[in-house]
Amino acid sequence: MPEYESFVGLDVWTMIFAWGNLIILFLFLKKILFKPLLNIIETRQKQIKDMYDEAQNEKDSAAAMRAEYEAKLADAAAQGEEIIKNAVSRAHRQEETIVREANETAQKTLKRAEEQVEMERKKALNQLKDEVSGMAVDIASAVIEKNLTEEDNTEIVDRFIGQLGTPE
Amino acid sequence: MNGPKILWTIPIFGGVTITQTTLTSWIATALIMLCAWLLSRNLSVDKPSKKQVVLEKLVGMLSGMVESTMGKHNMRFLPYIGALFMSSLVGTLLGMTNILRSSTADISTTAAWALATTALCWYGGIKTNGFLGWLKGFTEPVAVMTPMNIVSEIANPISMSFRHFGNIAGGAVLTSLVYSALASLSAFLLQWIPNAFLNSIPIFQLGIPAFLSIYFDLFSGFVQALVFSMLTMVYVGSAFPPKEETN
Repeated sequence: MPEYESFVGLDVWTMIFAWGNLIILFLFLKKILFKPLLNIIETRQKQIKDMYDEAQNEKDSAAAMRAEYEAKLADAAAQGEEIIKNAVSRAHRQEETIVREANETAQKTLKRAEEQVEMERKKALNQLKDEVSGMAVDIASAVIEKNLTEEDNTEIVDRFIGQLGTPE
Repeated sequence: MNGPKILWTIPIFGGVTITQTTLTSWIATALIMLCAWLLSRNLSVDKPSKKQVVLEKLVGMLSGMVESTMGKHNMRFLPYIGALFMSSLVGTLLGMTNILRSSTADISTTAAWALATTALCWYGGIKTNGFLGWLKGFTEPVAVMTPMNIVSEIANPISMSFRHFGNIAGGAVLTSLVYSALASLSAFLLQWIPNAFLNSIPIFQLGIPAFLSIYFDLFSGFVQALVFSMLTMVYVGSAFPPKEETN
């Protein structure tokens, strides 16, 4: 014959078992379920945060490196330009020097050549003069020896004397 | 409808009664423990399995509820609330088997839980304000309110336990009434069948009570578990205020 508790009534042992079960379940869930699971969630959140921080760091350092390289590149370009400019201006200077020197040399050479030519001409002229005057004397003496008449001689001598008399 | 059947009486301490309620409570506790143990095996930080994702979702929902109701400083109550909610839910749903009786359809169970809530509140009040400060709290805001405050303090566990018990037990009573009504209906409509065996089959009991059960057992069981846990959270949470507000 089964006995029944009243429909609305407190039974001390049922209450005690309800408490006991609740406390046991609480401790069990805390140890088996909640603590490990919350730990895992916390660890994961920490890992994600670390990953984000790391990524941010990487990004920052990458940006810094990029800025550095860009600066270096710009520097290199400027340096290259400078070098080319220097080279060009040096080349210009050298060119000018070379042309000037060449001009000077050429002028010197020309002058010397002209002087030489002049000297040679004078020398030749003098020689010619000498020869011509000699030849003239020879011819004159030859002409005089053969062709001159008395009057001619006189005339020549007179003219000569006249010339002598009138200074230049 | 009867109260819970007394299954065994252990003859110590003047007779320890093991009722249907206690049996259901044990089975519910064991089931929850088994599920928790099975689900929380092989937890992984970076490669969570499907069951871990589901488990994390559920625990996340519960912990979000506890945090929004009780505050971040009271998160140590999370396992207690979880245990309470699951005990209530599973204890109610086990009644659907029709073999076991819902453990929450017994005022003893819900009263025990409600008294535990009250005890936690008193502990929190005494811990926060000191014993005299806690007693003084009953005279606030004016001394005239003291009887009201005491009544409300007593009424809280009573209303909590009766609400939960009444909903579940009422649902069970209603379901059994519907069952017997359907049996009568079957007998009335099938009496023209000249076969004594065939017209004794309560054919209308098939399927129709399921719709009632969806409301009275599934929905009501879930809502009552939620309401009971929520009230516990609110009461206990207000008894343990944040550190800054403590004088």
